[in-house]
Amino acid sequence: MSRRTIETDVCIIGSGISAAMVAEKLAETRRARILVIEAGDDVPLPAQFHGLRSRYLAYGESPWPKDHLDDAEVAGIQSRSMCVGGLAMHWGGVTPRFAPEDFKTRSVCGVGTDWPITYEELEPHYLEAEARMGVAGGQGPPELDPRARPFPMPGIPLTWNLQKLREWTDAAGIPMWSQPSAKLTVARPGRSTCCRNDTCFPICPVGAKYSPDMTWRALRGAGRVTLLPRTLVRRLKVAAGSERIVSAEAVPRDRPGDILDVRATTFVVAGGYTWSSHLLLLSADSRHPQGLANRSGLVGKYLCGHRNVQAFIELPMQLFPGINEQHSLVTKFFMRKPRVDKYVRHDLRVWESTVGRTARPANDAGELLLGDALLDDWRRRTASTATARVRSYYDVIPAMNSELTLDSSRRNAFGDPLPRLQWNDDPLSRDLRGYTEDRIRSVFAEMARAGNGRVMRTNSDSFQDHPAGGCRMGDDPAASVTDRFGRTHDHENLFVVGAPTAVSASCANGTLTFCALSLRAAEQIGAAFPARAGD
Amino acid sequence: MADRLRLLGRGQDSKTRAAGWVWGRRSFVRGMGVVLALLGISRRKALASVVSSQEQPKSSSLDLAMLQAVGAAVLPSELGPGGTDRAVRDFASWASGYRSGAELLHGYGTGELAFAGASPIPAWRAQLVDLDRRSRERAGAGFVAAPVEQRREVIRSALAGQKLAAFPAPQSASHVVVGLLSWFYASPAATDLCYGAEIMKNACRPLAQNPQRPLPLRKGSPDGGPHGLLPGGTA
Repeated sequence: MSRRTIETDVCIIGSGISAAMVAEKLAETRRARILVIEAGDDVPLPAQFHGLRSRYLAYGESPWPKDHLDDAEVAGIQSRSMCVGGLAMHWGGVTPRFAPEDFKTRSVCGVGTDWPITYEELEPHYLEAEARMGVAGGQGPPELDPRARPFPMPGIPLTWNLQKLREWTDAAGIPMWSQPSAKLTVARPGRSTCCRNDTCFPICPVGAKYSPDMTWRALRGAGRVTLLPRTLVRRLKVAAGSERIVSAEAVPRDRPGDILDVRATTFVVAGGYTWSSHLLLLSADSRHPQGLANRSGLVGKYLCGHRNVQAFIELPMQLFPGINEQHSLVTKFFMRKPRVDKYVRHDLRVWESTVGRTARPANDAGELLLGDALLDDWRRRTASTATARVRSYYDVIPAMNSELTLDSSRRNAFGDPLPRLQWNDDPLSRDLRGYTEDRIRSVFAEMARAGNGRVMRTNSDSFQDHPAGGCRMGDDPAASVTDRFGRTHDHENLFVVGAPTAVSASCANGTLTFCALSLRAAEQIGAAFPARAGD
Repeated sequence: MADRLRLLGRGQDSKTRAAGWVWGRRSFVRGMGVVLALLGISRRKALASVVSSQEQPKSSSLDLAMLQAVGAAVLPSELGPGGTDRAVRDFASWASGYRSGAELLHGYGTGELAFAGASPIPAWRAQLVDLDRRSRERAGAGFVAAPVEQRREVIRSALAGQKLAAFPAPQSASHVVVGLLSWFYASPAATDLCYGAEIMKNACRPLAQNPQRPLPLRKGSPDGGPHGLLPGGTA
């Protein structure tokens, strides 16, 4: 066994999309040594993406086969990913903003908790995140979709199918527009424009969709950061006689008997909604028996996300599924303020779909179809009717006991307890769940009627999507883990960035918001270091 | 989520499928096509001779003659003999490229990992032998030599009792006939055939064409169109 020490200025723990935003901004604006530590493996190089995508399309194989650690399985529902780039190696590249109301649900709607920041305060960082990733978007109606400046590039043009579907949603009285997405409509160095390969999730073969590996390749190639993959940070340590974090104790997974002692001026925990709280709780010591940054007792609490209701609607029109299946229409029409007397806020997206319109091996009578009969049957079922997929995420008010705890009955290879996730709704959301889902289904039914169609079926996922929280931000140290910039209340040189700091999860995909929060935090993190010339 | 998961194992990429020897064979044949055109030799004839010399039965492959007889009986006649032949060959190539134990895509909202099951080829090979046996028993002629209608009857008898409300993922098909049909009908080319339009799903296509109605599927070439009718096909 050996013990090795590394000295750096900023130590970032985790290499997901929030870490990438922080590292890139610091590298551009500050003279600071940046060390990034990632427990998982490096991901394949872009030259391999076509082949990986082909295996995915042909056989359903994962294009990211080493994106997780076998001994890091979490109890409770979790999207599993631990690799350079994190969960955003899997994302679909969808980048809506939260609505202004999301930051003040208590003030505006009388529910939940207000964030310590407003939409307007986050707006510059939304713009910055959109610019860094390359977000293509079209402006929605300003009263629904407020923006200080246009998107960095034109939105993805609506497909022929989506244009037809928008005629339908117009008839239903719902204004919809092109879903903003981190997919290039204007090429950038090393990245092609989107060419509708339609495998944004799980892998874009041409670099049109932003993923954090792009940032890491650029920063590592330029010598701006050092990234240590396959290295697990097990503990943060507090200096004797102060509350400053003095080191991160890590283990190289290839040399599990060795200890790496990382000493830094500033530590940034960027481990997402699971591993950030997990590390803080694991780092308990005699002076901090509840874990670090946890005087409030809220580390791991208030996990948040949103649920959804989905429907497939048959419409009397012909569509051509496959033009660009992953792109959608979106609206914030139901998101800006409750449209009923109870607290129900949701987004709405519309896609082309093949549900109910795929070829089938037998007819309604159960008779086997062979040869021309099968193709004829398929054509008959697609000639004059089509399927639209509609889905709404709805806001769930997080409860304090929606939480991550340490599960001492399950441990990783180093003997550390693994996380246990338990999702709970605030009593208000719990009581409103049935009403909310009925309300959304009634919207879908109204839409179907407006198009002379019918709802084929609806379903709801039981889990909360786009999870966040666990280290919520706030102005009151007794009611939050970090301040409004992500700096922990208890340790002046310890930041938590991205998803964990979210107070609530809105009713729209959260990644862009997590990136904006991270960039906002990066300004504070960087303030401790000299500016680069020209900054 | 449903749509994301639905993508698993479905569909072929007509432009970028590069796995294993499939790509090598196509590249080789494409290259050969230029040479043969200069020599005035039919590419199809040349392909037949190339394939016949290269594709002897292997333990990991399916009986191509039997599979072609199946294809002619179950695939749409619009493909024509050439198209059917290509579909069958590409299906056989796909099957031989299957890797049991490979890690499958895991989606959002689950920590579960999944791995590819055992290769379907051994069972499918046995089923092709069984089809031939059934044909001889029913009509005294081997499956390959039997008329198309008789082959269909043999297939119906072999699949009798199976519940087939929807196609499974091809690799999960309990019978080789269902595997071939499932694979073909999940392909972008089959979608184009159904809609009579050049949708070219999963291919790299200019974004600027997004708003346009897909062009009608062009006919006339032996393979049905400029980009081929068949999964993975590039004429």
